[in-house]
Amino acid sequence: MSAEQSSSEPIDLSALGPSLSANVFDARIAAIMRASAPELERRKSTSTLALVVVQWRRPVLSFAGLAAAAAVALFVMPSRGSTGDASALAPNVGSATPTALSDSASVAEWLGVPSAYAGVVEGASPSAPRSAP
Amino acid sequence: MTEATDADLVARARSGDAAAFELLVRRHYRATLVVAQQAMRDVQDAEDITQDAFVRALERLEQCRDPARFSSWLHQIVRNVAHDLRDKQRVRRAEPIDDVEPPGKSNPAKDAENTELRERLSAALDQLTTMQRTVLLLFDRDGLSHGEISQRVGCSVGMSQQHLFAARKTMRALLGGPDVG
Repeated sequence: MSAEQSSSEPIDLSALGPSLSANVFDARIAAIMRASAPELERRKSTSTLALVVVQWRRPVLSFAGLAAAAAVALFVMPSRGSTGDASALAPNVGSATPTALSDSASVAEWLGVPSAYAGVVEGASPSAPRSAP
Repeated sequence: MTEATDADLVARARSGDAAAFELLVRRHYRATLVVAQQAMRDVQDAEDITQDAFVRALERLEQCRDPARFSSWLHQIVRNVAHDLRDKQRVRRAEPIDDVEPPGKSNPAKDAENTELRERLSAALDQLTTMQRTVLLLFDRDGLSHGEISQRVGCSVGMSQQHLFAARKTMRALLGGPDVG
């Protein structure tokens, strides 16, 4: 018998045990799926959460980057303003507050930061010493 | 129809895809049952540990380092589950596991012959690919047509025929020629 012919003959696998009818097979698969349902559900919900995080990662990172840039700009601008040209900031601050940015008022004061604290931050000595001996 | 690989199905099952997991179960159930029957002489025990092994496999799917070899990993789980069950039974019965009576005690010589043949068949089946093993069991043992097999395991009719041809060829080579069967 050639290899081609022998491969067309079935192999007796009865020693492996009785064959499974389609109904019995389907019933056993269904039983396994029932037993696996809680784990599949858990995996699905975990996966959904992870997917949401992945989907929102880019916009969240973009927003965080913008916020960080804005924060840096906010801290850098007052220190430049205190060197003498606070009025240069007026266009950035807005048209509603031009009078608040006079030469004599620092940006820090306009933002509501006490001048003593602003001085410490800028590295200068406080304008009003607490209590000199 | 494109044949989804075990690795694809494992990846989908990891994210909770029930359809992918069901296809994995359908593909591997019969071969897994054969391994379980090797480990457990009781038919009901073999069915129980097969089910248990699939559930455990799903719970530990992240530990499957090579999803392309899912069946090998699954069969190891079956052997572990069978070992655990035999330990429990030994404690419960307070007797050595070798003393458990095999079914069909009436003809020990024939039983021994069947056991040897079953072990040879199982060892040969282990040498096949997952699809070859599944198609062979479905066609030659369970009598399904290629059309039914293609629907059950997710491959084309042509691929089912090819898997069967290759599986028989390999089995005959491993079991000693065309006289087998």
